[in-house]
Amino acid sequence: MSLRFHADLRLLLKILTLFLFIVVAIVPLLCILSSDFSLELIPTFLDERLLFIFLRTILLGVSTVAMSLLIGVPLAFLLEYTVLPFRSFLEKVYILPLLIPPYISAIAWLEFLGKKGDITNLNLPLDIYNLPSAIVILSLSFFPIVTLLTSFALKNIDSRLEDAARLLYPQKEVIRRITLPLIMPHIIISSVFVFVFSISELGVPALLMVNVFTPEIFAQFSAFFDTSKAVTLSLPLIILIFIIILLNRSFLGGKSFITISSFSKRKKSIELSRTQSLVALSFASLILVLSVGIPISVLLIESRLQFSIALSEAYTPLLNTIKMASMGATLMVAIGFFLAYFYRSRFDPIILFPIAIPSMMAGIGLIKFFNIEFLSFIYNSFLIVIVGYATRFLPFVTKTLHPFFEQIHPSIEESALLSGASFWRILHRILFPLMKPGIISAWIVGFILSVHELSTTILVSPAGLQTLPIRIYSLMHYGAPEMVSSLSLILIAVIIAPVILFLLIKKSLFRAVTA
Amino acid sequence: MVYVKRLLILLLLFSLLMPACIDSGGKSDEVVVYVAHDQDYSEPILRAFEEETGIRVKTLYDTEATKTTGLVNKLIAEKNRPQADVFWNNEVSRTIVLKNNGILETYCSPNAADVPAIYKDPECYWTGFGARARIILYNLDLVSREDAPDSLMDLTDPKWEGKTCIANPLFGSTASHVASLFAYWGDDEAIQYFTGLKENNIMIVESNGMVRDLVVSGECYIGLTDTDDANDALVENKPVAMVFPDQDGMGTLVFPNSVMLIKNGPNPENGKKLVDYLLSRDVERELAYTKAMQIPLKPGVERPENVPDVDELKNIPVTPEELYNKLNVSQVFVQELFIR
Amino acid sequence: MTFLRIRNVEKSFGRKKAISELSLEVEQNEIIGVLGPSGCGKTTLLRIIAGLEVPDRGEIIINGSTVYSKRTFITPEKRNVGMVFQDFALWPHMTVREHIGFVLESRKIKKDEKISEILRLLYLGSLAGSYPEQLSGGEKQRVAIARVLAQEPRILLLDEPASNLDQILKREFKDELLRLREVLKVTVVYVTHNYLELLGLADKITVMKDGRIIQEGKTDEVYENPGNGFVASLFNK
Repeated sequence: MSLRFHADLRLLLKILTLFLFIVVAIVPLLCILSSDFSLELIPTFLDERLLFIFLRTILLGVSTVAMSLLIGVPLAFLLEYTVLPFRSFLEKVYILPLLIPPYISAIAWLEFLGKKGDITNLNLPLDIYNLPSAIVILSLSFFPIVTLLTSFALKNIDSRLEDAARLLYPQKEVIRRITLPLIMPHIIISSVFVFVFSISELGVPALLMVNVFTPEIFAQFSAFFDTSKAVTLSLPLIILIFIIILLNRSFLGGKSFITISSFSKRKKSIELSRTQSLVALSFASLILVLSVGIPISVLLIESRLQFSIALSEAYTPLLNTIKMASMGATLMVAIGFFLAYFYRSRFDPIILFPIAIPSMMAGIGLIKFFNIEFLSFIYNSFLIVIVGYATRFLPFVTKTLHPFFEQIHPSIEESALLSGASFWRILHRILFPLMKPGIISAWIVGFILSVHELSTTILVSPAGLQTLPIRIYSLMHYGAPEMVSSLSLILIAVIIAPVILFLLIKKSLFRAVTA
Repeated sequence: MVYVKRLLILLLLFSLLMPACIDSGGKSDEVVVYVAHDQDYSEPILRAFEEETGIRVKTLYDTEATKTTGLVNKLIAEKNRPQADVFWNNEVSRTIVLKNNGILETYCSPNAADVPAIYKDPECYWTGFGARARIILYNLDLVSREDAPDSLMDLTDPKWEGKTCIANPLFGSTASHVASLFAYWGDDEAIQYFTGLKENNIMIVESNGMVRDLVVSGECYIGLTDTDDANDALVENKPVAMVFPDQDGMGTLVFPNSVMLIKNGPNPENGKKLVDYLLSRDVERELAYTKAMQIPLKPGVERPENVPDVDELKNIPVTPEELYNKLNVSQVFVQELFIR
Repeated sequence: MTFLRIRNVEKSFGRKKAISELSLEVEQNEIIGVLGPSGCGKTTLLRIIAGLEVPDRGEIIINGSTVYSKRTFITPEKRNVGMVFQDFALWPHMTVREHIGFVLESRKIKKDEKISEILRLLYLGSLAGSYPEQLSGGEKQRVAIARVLAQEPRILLLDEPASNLDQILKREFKDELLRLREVLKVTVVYVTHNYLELLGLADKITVMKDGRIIQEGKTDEVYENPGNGFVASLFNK
């Protein structure tokens, strides 16, 4: 009887999860694709201007990847392989650029390089309204993704593989011929993420007046009110991203050469000479200054430290944002947990599908699907905003959980099953505890992404509900730099808080898990 | 550690319940209004309405980021099941978009009677109030009074080459301005003008606010922007000056806020009351005294010194419909020309 | 003739002293077993010999040349030391053929005939294009041996190589090692916690505990006469 119940519960959860995923992530997007897509508009792609813009978009993506790799991979090696002074500090701090929304960095850079003349009368004749600047700003925002994944791979390489080669070749050769190939799958995945993020980014190219595809699609929505054209224009982007996701799968077969085994995870430590240390530290510091130091300092100065005024002004949106992002993260982890559990990496193309859809399109799709009497309890409340977060970010939360599941050997579950435990018991007593770090990481990812979400929220928010990013953006209009900067810093603080919390309790968490 | 875990769970549960307390969603007397106007100026007015009538006002604001069109797109997407009663727009061209999409309901408010005919819809689909104008802002330190521009044509003058700026002509009031020139001059002359702007290396930036900021910092000597953006700098005594261009010629584009009733909204009666309120003389007066210095359309409304008299201000003689008709063709053109 | 001489070597990791004043001599062509429980420092000892770990003090001399002293450090790839690990540590991204080629290249040998010869010797011909994950335990073992053959090291270090093998493979491995010693004339240091692996293989046994050598001598002698209770326990007595 208990075995049958087990099977039933499992099946039920499996179907329920799929159903929720489809309702939340797939249907709204299909809704808009099917209703507003128009075949006749396809010939417009042959327009010379559009082709240029499309090529420029790809150039932006590829260059951002290249630069992110140039920054991120060496940094990962420095952190994992060498005895770098201040290493433990750097290890914690390099994530920061990821927690600062790119458009806020762009705002800060614009203020710094003399646009307003307020902050620095440096009168730097630096024109940053161009593609290279966008590439630099985006790379400075996204390189931590490369570093994170590369570090993870480096940490978990079986160091004996390198030792075996070290007996034959000098260190540099070992890195080139053994280490790099082994971590290549992780580097490639991080490149895919950086590429997708950079070509989906709207705020930075719009602010810097760089004409790539996302502002073009946005223009169709907002200037021409041509939803059909906007949807049709989105297609090349969607197809491009989809192809990349598929290539990623077939190339790597979802495999990785890094397994979390109990074997040597010795801390590698290559000693650096004094000059080498100096160069390395300078590099790391420069990156930190550019990616975090300057934006935050600029914001601090511009804010004139008027945090209390800003807080009293924007108290409600701030609270709304925190609560809804929390709820959104919780919802995404709830669905994402089972999604990642039942449907492993081979289902990536489906799971990752929502990533390819531009944010405004997602918003319109959500309105079209949820604005019916039957679903009004969702649509007319804050729930629609939370659903919106899930529509856009469920893929990321799910993908975060995958590697953690892969670490749990199937024999662990099987032995529990054989001892008569029900599925609920297995979940409760085995899977949840073992997955704790994964669940928390995924929650944080979902939270961070939801907190600074803007374009979909604008469209689906019910009247009377405002989030902090929306408030910040509407304040930008007046030239109220103190408020914009103060609130941006508060937003960043909200994003950083759970990460810091996580880092603090991380040690006790992991100890409990590996015990 | 156990305590921390329990605390975290409690916090999570708490956060799950809290939002429910904020949005009571009860069937109290309310009105839903989408606002494309600056929150800082519109919010006090709406709160005052709430106090006066006891009707709860639920608002949705748009941001500069989406150039007001987030709400317009939302209204269109919600057509089959409208969620809003009233739309307070800060210009007129997108109002026409809504009208043509069948989103609006006619309502001849008694307070609309004394609004001049050119600033309202003949069939009462929408009514204008509190206007702005498209003006030239220039830097006083860099541009002497003799050289000061007074016409749009000045921006094609080679002596300002590379020193002029304008907001993205695809969006917002800039797009309306472009369309009005296409409507007034005709396509050929308008094309010539904008090509001239491009050849004179005009800088395109993201918003009217940015144009103002660049003129203030001196990176632009001359910029095209709106009266409210300009005024933000003027009240801070920045070294800039504002000119209503072509007052001796075709006139300056004056464009009002527009308020309209949404067809089949949830609270139509309350919606009408709100429309009446927004069209009152008091509201126009209040808007005139804000930093947005909105120009009253009704005759005899009290205003501060820096706000011009709408009767004395020459407006480009183009109707909102004519402007709307030229929107598409003008936008396609400037997109080809400037956004490559 | 003493081929490998380790003199007064010490190594600490932070506060933990892994090896204290350890001295050891291994004759040429000898197979010496290092027996001890986990954590006794035997793996560290191997890594120090290989040059993967730098001692705090002491001397290491291989075939008369100093590879480590206060003034000298010869990097690992120059010492011509080979190593076989537990579970063999094959490179997942290389085929069997590439494994052999990789090793030969380090000796600047680029002959395809040599690769084929080694493949033939170990019956790996049909598996030349296979990746480690496609190989069985026994096949992986042969690839590990192939690596050693390709390198022709003068010293071969083994770090618990047979721990995860079944009885049959353990037997085969022992035979392979003895054959290797014959063919390559190599000196062998075999580290393990399982004395059974050393019987019938090692000429001498050195027992380690807490970073020190507590007994050494010919295999039979140590086995018959464990010096104390601890050593006896290692032999399951």
